[in-house]
Amino acid sequence: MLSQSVRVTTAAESRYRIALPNSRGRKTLVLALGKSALTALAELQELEWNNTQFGFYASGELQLYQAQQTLRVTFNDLLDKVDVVVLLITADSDVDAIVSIGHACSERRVMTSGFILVQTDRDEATLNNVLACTRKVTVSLVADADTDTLIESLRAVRA
Amino acid sequence: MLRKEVNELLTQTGPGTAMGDLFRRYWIPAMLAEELPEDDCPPVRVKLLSERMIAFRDSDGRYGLMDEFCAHRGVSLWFGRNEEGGLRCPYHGWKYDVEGNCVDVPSEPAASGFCEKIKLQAYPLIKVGDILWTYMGPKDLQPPPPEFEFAIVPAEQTFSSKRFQESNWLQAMEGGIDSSHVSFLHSGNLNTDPLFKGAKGNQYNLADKMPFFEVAKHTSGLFVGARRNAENDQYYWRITPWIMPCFTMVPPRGDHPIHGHFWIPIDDENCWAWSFDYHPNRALTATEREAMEAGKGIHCEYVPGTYIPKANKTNDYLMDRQAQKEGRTYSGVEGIAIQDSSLQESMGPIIDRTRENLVSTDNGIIMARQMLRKAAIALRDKDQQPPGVQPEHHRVRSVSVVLPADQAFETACEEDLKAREGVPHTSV
Repeated sequence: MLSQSVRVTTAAESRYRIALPNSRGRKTLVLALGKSALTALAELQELEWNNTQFGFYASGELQLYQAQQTLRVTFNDLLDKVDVVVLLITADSDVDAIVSIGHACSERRVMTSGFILVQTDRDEATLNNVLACTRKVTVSLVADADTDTLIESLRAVRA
Repeated sequence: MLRKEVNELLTQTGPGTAMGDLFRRYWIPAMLAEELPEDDCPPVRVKLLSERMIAFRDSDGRYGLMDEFCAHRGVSLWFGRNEEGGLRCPYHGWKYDVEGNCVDVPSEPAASGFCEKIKLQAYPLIKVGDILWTYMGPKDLQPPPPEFEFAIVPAEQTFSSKRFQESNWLQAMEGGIDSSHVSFLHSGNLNTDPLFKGAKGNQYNLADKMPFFEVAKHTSGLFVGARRNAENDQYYWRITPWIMPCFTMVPPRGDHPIHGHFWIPIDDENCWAWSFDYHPNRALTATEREAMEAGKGIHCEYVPGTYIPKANKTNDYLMDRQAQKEGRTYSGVEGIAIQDSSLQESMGPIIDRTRENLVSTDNGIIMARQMLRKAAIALRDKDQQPPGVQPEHHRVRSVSVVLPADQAFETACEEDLKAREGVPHTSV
């Protein structure tokens, strides 16, 4: 007699997997920290996304870019409405802002991941300092020279 | 998630496919050297990248890997007679050398030149370490032989095995990149398996089930760093190298040997999970070797006379619900290798990645797929040589280490991540 595992793992049997959606859309906030990250953020905004918002955080103030408008919102209020926060960071990002956002996300159990956009013309020590601060507050961290990997990661998590 | 067309691109490796062409630019493990143990020994059927071949070792010790079927009437040369410098088809006596050249057609006069018009597709088969490697790509682009450390250390320092896995290669390999499942699926083995137990790192692994991840690209792949909390504001890092297209290493534990894998497509629905253990600067002990041969660590027990795991889908992987309930094993399946294969095979032959829900901590998998896709497309559209082909790209090591919280693993461990002859591995 065939074992259950043999019977259910065939390509033919795979056709009977339930095809209904198995997840509700997660709301993602991509937050640029540092002016150098704004260009990359603008590139991302040009693409099509599912449930993704884009914002810029500096000097304790959050600007949310929505439907051609720039809204000023309170970060903690926004945090109640998102599932994932992706920090888009550059060497000129404010480390205090990274830490405070990271802690706010952690307190509310919002998944926080970091993407460091490495610019070769920037001071390595400064970048390392930013990296070290980001490492402490993000569950997942990637450093890369362009936004391709970030786009791929966002697509993979259905952002 | 992955779009359907990208999933197909990454999972199809037959002749003429983009990923198939990519794989054909690398030396890949084809067989264990023990499968062709002596000159003129029985030939062995080999299927790789959806091509059926026959491997043999001729009277002079030369290895051959060629089309399995005789050019005359399509008979399998597995039935062949391996004699006097070639493999002879038992049907009408046609004979081939290790390069696939037909060297004798008894029914035709020798002077007719008929033989010279017959040639089977053949690929080089070379022995490096205890593995026979093949290169199935364009002859003029054949790279130098592989230099993975496990294969070039002295024989007494290394051990390799392979097991048949009934799934596409990619879902198997993704398990090798994904370090976070260790705290769950393999948790029952960390303190009991003879090739894992006793390491300080196991305590960090078991105490912190929510690792944070950092992924760094390098010339030929990725370093996937999983960090867990250690004492005194330090992190315990487990760093997994992935070398394109399908080589992964497991971060070491204490002074145990380093483990790793190759994930080689047999066809689109089956693969070979190759497993190796080696120690960079000492011989494996008799106890270690016995444990490996007995299927401990990342190896497995076999159905006698085969490379099919003893616990496989035909016997529901010898599932033990009582062991699961009592926590002796996390999933109820015994052994690290079979814990992995049982779950990866349960996905079906080729997982439908349009339905998966990845999270940010899956970045290692996401980035590996990205690099594979880009390399396959660059090769297909621009004939661009993929990364990881050259031997210098093979000289990496996995690492486990405790670092101060402010240190980046890729800079702090830059030297530790390189294979260095005679230098001990960095391990906690």
